[in-house]
Amino acid sequence: METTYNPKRFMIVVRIGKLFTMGLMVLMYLGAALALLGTGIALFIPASVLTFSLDSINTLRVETMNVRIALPIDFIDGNVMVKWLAISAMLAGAVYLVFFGTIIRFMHGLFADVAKEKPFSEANVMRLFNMSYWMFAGAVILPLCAMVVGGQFIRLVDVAESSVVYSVHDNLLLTGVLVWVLASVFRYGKHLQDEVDQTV
Amino acid sequence: MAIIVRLDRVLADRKMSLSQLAEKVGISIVNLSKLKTGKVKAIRFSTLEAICEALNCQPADLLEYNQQRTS
Repeated sequence: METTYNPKRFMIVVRIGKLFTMGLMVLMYLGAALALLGTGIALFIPASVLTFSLDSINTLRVETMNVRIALPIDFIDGNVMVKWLAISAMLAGAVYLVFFGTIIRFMHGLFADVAKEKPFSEANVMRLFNMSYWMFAGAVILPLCAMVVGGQFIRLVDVAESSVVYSVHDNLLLTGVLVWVLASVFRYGKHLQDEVDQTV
Repeated sequence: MAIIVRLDRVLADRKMSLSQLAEKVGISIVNLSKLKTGKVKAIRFSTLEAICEALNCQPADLLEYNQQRTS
């Protein structure tokens, strides 16, 4: 089957992608800055002020392997001090936002170079390789952040036999491998582009 | 590169400037200049044909192989 290439439509999609990633990147970095600011403020607030009542919570919803379980937690009540849970959640949130903001920044750079009709540039090859390494790092670091927040939560609700487990973010790891393969394809594309550019 | 482009020599023989050739062949002066100074990796048969036609010469008049310059 013959495929058709519509340059006009393609450029519209690229420009939309460029604008969208720019907006998303700014929002994510802004969110990370706010989370860090919130962490800084929370550090100076006494733990006794930052409390949360568990009386109103009757069920705990747990979602795992496409199964959503509502666990009755009537036995948990009273006020808990959530200072360190809030701080760890805000720090973890900042790490997540910086991580995904940086991925979006790489994507924005890709769109910008494609918009300049230079998809197989050296910068794009490096961007894709860096994006894949960033994803490999994220697959290890992000579950650690989630583990810290989960640990704080378990400490607060104090449910017997509960523990946090660590596992590498396999989806991110697989995506990183795919992006690495794409980067290798782009590197070959750059080599072909150089050959064409140096042919008269 | 062991292949040397002798475009300057043929142009001098024909008393033709690079810009005149560019106009006849329909290739930019920049690309012809790159070809003349050996800064290109490859030349299309269509380009070679157009240059040979414009300069009334053979491809062998434009290209020379120098074994000593093999990289």
